[in-house]
Amino acid sequence: MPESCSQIFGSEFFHDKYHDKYMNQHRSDSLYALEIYTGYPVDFGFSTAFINPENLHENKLSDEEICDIIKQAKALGVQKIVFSGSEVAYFADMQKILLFAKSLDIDTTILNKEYSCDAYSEENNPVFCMRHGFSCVITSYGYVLPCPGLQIPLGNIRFQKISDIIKDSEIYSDLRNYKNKIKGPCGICEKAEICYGCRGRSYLITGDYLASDPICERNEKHKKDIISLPLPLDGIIPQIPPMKLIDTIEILGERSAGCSVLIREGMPFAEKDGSIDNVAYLEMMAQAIAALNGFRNMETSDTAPEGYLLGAKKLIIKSKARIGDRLSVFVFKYAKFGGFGIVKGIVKRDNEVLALGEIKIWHNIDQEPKVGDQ
Amino acid sequence: MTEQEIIQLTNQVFEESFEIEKELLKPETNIFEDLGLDSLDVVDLVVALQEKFGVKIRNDERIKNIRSLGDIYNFIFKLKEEH
Repeated sequence: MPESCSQIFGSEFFHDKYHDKYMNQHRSDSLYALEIYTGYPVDFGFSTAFINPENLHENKLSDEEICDIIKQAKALGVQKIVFSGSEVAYFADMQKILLFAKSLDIDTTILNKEYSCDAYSEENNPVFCMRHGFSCVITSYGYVLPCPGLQIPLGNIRFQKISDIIKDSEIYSDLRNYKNKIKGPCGICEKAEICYGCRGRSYLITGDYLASDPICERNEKHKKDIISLPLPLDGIIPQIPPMKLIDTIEILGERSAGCSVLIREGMPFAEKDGSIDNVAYLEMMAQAIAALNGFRNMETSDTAPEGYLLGAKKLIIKSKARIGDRLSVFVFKYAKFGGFGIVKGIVKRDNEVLALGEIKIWHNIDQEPKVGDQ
Repeated sequence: MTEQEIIQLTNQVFEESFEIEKELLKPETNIFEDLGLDSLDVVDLVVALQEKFGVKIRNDERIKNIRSLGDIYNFIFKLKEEH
């Protein structure tokens, strides 16, 4: 059997033994294992646009903060912690940390060697790694990741509890609801009960953490069925031309997405002088969030999710877009209550911010399957 | 944070975000019937409370049971205790 990165936790967590127990559970913040990763910092990509600079931590966790993580982990049910990465020795008092974990009856392992999820590895067998069902990674800067390969920060433990980060995470929810969410051939593979491919390499190659694993030998003949970003949005968002403004979804993050739009002649909101009415920015943000929701639910719904733009505030218009411009629209789900949400949005032309603000939306959450709805 | 501070900051949210007069802000005040908030306003209330108290309220089911200002004071107090 090929080695997977979930095996760092040991055979007691390996697929069929933990699968029934840990996956499909209704308590979405439970954890049974944790990796504390001391390697290179995470690249936040476009998500930085929505992070308060004060919340971007460049300092590594102290020994005391690591002990606090261990306490939180214990409360969530963690039985094993793996310390990984080349800088694992940086903790001033690793012995104290290990003893603290032991005092809470948590097993620990230190992996001194770097290991990584290599997207272009020759290893192409099914990976049988479903570690998101029972574990997460915390970097030495405090950022929580689903796994080492899926380097999308879900939050930082310096500002939220681990349980809150996991409960809030749409990515985590999607991964735990894998039977409904994995797109393409992995979802109908005969091994789909116990394997959803390597999420890290799927994300690295396709840009979609829910895409089928393009490297797996079982998908060799189905590569044409594996979708990659950027992806045209026809049928994914409810808008149809001419009201459909955005063209493609380009990039995914935690509760966030980046989309692309080419301003064309004859497009709604186009003025006679070739500029675009400012209202178009709000519509672009609304369509971008529809794209994120539609893309996440592609496998579970034949129709684009229903939603409405209800209003906007804190809108700042810095410059006009013009016909021929290629714009990037970044959106982040800032707050949510039932089907209502506040979305922060930024519209850019290359690196120039044209507009930013918040929109209030409603979308039909009845179309979203919950964890455990299999 | 004391109970009094929670009441004061919560009332500030209503004054700043919804332009409600201070005199109306009493524990027994119903935020929907007396202050005129609707379901659209609740998401704004959630955001404003999050920012004011530095807590995470996203998708907290207990919000659905809130009717009065007193319910909000108690909710925030419990949230603060949990954090």
